Amino acid sequence: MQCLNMATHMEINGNSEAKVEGCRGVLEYDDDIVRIKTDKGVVRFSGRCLAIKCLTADSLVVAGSITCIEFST
Amino acid sequence: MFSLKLVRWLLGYVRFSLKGGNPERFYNYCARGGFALWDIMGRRQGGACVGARSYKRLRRYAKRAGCRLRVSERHGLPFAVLHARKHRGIAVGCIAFFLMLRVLSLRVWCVNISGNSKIAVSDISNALTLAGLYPGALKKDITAETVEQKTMLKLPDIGWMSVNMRGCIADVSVEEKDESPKIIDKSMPCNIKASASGQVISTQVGAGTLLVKKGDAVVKGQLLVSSVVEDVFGGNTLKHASAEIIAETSRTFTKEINMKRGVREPAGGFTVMRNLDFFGVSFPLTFKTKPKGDCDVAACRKELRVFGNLLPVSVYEEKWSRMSVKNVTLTEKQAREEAEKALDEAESGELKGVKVTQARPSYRLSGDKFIYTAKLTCEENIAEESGIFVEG
Repeated sequence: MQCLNMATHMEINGNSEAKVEGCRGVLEYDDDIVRIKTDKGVVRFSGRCLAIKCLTADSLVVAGSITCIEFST
Repeated sequence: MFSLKLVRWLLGYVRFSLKGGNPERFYNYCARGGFALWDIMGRRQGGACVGARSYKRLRRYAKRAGCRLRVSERHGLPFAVLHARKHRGIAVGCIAFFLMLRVLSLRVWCVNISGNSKIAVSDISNALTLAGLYPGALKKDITAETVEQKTMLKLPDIGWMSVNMRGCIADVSVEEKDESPKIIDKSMPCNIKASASGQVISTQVGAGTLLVKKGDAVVKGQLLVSSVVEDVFGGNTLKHASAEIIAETSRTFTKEINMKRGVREPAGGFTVMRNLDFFGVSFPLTFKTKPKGDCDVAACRKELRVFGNLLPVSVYEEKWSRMSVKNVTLTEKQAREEAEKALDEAESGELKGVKVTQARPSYRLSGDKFIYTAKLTCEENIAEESGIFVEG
């Protein structure tokens, strides 16, 4: 799935894992919400037992039971 | 995934806990600083994993984010090595283990010999030792072909053998030679004469002219089958006579037995000597010496096997028992039993091929001697080849 702009790339594996490339940082991180900043907006993952499995300068992996993904500018 | 985990373990990593401040900001600082974090915990627990070398450099980001860092777990090889430094014995043990493993793997641990039935294992083992193959020999010095050739030259009864190295185990397969049949030169004419006196029971002629018949009495050396064969035209031909002439013969078996004799028997008390053999080198486990005087020795070797494989470690034990000679006098019954046993042995030894149909034993005492005499009626093949000198 290509979203927000060409620099951000997101791959979703079922509802258990999401890989985001081109993220600009973590805004909020908790068991049920992960909000990340991208070049053109904010992506919000909602669910249960959410965890950031891996975090680097421009990518992260969110794992857990994802129930909702919201995009906002 | 496994390779990633392996690399992380080899380089070492720490799990740290995060308290206070703004964890999200801390994670962002770390990510922008080029530090990869994994297994990141949420706001409630706070913490993540990071490479061991990077941990110290995260403190400034923690300070900036207002968080406190604390190492909760350490994993990986660098920490294991650090831990081992405190326990030098473990490190020395590990080094010694690998050193021994390396040294021992260069040598032959054991020699497995298979396929022999007539040749004793000890004979083959001795020949192999002389050829350079023995427990403890360096593997690089062993050439299978050379060992095979040298062993076969030492033991001519071996028809074929192969030496295969299986790790530190030398498998030696042996095939013994079959006995070649006796070659009879049938081109040379010969007669058949009687090897013993007796009465003919049956005749079976392969070649030649039979001169006796069933029921005839023959004496030792008498011509039984002539090599001269007359053809239908009246001409004579010399043949290599062959025949089986079964005759009833008489034999006498005599056995003299001393009634008074010295019998060796245990005098009580023994000495056990043990050696530990390791790679062909013997180390004494007991420091006793061989007892003086008349002794009997019984030796045994206890070998160590793991999963059926012989290890180069064995314990050799010798039990030296003191003996004394006691004078005893046999009873007539004992002497007779001994004589009868000797007769049985003779029947399976020197009288092999001779069928004893009747035995009439008798015995008498002559001083300290018990003389046992058995008159035997036998059935045997009395045909014996006798060569003929032919001129020209």
